[in-house]
Amino acid sequence: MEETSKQVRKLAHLARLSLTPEEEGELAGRLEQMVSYLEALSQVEDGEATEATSAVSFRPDGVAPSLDRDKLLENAPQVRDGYVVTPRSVGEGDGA
Amino acid sequence: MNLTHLTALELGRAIASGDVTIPQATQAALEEISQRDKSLNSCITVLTEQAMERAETLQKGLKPGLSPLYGVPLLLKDNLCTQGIKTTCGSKLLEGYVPPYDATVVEKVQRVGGVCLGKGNLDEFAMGSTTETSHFGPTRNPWEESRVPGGSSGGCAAGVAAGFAWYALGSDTGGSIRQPAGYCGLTGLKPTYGTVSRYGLVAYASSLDQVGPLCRDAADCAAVLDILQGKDSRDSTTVDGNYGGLLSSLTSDIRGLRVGLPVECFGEGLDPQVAQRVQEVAKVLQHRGAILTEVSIPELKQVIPAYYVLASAEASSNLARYDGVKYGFRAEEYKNLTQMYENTRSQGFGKEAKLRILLGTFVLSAGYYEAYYKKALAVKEQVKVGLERAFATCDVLLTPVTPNTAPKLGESLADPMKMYLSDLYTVPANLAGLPALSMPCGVDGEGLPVGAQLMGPRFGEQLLLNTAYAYQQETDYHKCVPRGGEGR
Amino acid sequence: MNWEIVMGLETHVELSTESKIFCGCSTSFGAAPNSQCCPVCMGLPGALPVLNEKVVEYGVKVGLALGCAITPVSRFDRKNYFYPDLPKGYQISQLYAPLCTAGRVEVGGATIGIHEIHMEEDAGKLYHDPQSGETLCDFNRCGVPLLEIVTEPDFRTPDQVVAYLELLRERLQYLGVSDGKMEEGSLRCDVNLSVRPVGRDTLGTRTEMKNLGSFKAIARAIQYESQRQIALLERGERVVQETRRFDEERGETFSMRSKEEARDYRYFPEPDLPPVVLSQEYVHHIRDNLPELGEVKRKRYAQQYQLPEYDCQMVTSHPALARFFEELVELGTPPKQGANWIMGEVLGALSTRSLSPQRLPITPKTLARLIQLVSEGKLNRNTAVKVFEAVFDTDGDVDEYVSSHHLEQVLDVELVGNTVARVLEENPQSVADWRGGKEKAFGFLVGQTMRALQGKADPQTVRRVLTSLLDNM
Repeated sequence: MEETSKQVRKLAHLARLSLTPEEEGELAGRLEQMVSYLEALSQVEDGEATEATSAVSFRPDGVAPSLDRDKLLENAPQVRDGYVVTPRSVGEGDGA
Repeated sequence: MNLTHLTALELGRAIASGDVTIPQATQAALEEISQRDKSLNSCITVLTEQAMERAETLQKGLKPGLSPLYGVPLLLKDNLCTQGIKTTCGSKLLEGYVPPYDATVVEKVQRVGGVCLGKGNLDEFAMGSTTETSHFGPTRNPWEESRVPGGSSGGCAAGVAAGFAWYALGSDTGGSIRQPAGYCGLTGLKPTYGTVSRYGLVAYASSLDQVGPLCRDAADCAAVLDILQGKDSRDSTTVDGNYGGLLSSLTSDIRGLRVGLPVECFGEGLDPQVAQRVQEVAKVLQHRGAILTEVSIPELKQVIPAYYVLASAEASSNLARYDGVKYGFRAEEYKNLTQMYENTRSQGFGKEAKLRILLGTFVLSAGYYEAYYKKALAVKEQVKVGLERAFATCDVLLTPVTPNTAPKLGESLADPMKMYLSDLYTVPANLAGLPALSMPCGVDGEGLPVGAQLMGPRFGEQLLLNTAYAYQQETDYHKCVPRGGEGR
Repeated sequence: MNWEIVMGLETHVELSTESKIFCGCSTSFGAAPNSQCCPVCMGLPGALPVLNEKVVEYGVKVGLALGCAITPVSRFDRKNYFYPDLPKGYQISQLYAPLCTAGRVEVGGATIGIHEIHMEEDAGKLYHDPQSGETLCDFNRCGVPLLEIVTEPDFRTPDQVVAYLELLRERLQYLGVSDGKMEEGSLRCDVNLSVRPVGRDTLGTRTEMKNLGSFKAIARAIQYESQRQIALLERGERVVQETRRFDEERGETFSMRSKEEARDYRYFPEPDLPPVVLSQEYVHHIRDNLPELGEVKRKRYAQQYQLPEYDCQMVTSHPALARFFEELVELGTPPKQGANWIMGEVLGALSTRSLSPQRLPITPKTLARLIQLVSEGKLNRNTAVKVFEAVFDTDGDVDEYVSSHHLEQVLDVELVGNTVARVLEENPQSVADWRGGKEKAFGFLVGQTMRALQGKADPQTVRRVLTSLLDNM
């Protein structure tokens, strides 16, 4: 259980969720139950993926109008001078 | 004539002939909603004024040669984007979110003269089978209000069953149209993957999600699918089904149709009453000239674990965008970026969503991808192969929709594993990308609707609809309405 | 101990398509923040990607130009991580089946293996607001198409790295798929570097260096980082596998994050995009229509036109110049004369105007006519340079300019003779000086004659006439 809790915390961080101790307990239990149920999959033999039923269709390289900026930013929680504002990102992990 | 008990096509004909006006129909539905939706809670948003306004406009545009569903009011599941009308997905994270664009299917129903009455309640981000995980409270089953309507399209199903609208557009990832249709006595169809555009459908599990109709009978389903289907340049996964007219090709002639009953779907865990109702369906079909065969599809054994791995994995990624940056809810307190993310998402998502995000994160994380995700993909392929083999010897498969009728509110939350397992019959069609239809076939001892499922080969919608249409010529379960069962 | 540096490069190339990789928003630079966004690139709920065909075409072109195999069925995958510049919470990229694999290029005497080339979308731009301490997000760059070109660890010296990047930039420009400007970020390079004792086969622990903004910075970063690693190992310490950022001002690299805290990107197949299926015909068609690349042109110019190596290098330094040169030659300009004009006047005019060769306003036709007038003796070269300057920006009509400004070269020997006679008459002192042996006086008399003829005379003729008149005086 301790091990599961530790793993749940790691997963929660990857998914950017912070769980209350109570939630952590409950979710850890349910997750453990699910994962043990999923063990059934280990019996499955890896198969060759069959050929895809469809191929991607392309879009010609043409410019289409963008969304009106005011409309686009209408739903944003914090906006300044046309920028979307977030807490300082430096030092919080960065782009790939 | 009770307007709200007509089928969509019947109302469409009444509108076209001038017997009923669009505002009259709209008004009648809105009255039903205002009378009963306080207790059912099927709609997150009701568009009273907009609907009436649109009804008046459409009435003025009435002329011969329009769509058979011109002027017929409908509900949209609240995970279909509607421009200028909030689209919440049943989540606190999108409580006030107003999309700047319409989903392709929304555009399509509007273009043929649909009147949208409201946005149907759903499990948060369509993750659930009971419509109890919505941030806006659970929806109740109009047949018996202590019961759930099923899910995740439960709001739409309850609404159409209760006479709030003549049809609805839902979405189905593992049974989310068919299962609530079954619990609420409706006919619902999950189309072949790719035949209906997902553009503007807020994604739960992109490779499994499909939009489809929830209706009172098979003919209505055919009419709605005629409108919805077609390749969409904005959804790369769409294909052209080349259906021709589904409605116009309904004949009710099923002589020689080979109906397969998979032994795997009539075994352990199935309520004997449900089994019996579905066996009766087989008899009716046989009576109309169909040939019954028993088939075995052992590949179906692993569908539930595979489904939960694939759906949760995709969900964990699809739901990453709800981070408090660009739209939707943002937590009020945080000290830095990571806290802003974590507080926003922790306060915004409900428990079921969190569980599935964690599960999905787990099965994709380093060291587990091969053990879970790849295996689940292998099962998906095997299920496809198994079903293909079955469709070599029969034309459609007949199964129950669910092992039981609608559970009581709260029951599933107490035993979520049981709820997951009850997706057993509906999930294969999603994994294999095949069309499947749910239709009412009577009630159990407590008067709750039982659903039968017809599954077909890729692009086999016409077969499914025609089979259901034939069945509904012979029976009138689809005409039963809740609330004391005043028949039409 | 002698150490060997081992390096591999990951280069991001911004493709010069009109629209983004998965939506129709413009890719142009310098627009107001968040003005080139739509539901797709902003990651609005329900929006779906649709692949731009040009991105695939450009990717295949680059793959073929780097000797790669083109994957018949390639796929997109999602790379999941949280950061404000990534609206969807994942980047659409390719991991399991990239567009191109297994290529190679020869550079500076070394063979560099190309591990793979894949397509992906760029992220947004973040600005730190010093006043509020917050981050400002501009999503205009989200969805701008990128190719990531990953090499094998085949580099041993900074010179090889720079030579590879120069070659890569030139090929990208000749293919017309990217402007390849490192300074503007359309070519971005990360260097994976490890060191090992000379003679050892196994690889040492590597670090990845980011934020390398120029060829110079790359060479300096490699220098610094290899020394740092060698010093660590010589002290008996170990190199930590990590990502390091190069600080250009201080000339040092700094740790960004170590492998222990490396992110788990949870890649999985992108369900919103079916596989990219490319037929053999498609690939063959692109291969058959690949433009002639710089090094092939250089060889051909040397052989076909007998241009010196330096001229070949200069004329092919940008595909727009090479195209200009070839059109000049096609219009009948002698190759060497054309090359001289390009290396001299054309490059000079571009540089004083800070224009890139793509923006060359004058057309080959105009310059060809100008050169023709000189070789026909109708214009002297100095005047021609003036005409060039006058017509350069507007691609003006050379003949019209010459005639309206009366610049035709005076070929009339009688007129030249009369003018020289008058000049001699007006400058008796200079004539005396010349007779006294002052050579300078001759030059003065030539200058006076040219002035009198408004510079339009052929200087050779003036000299000949002047000599004969002075001799006969």
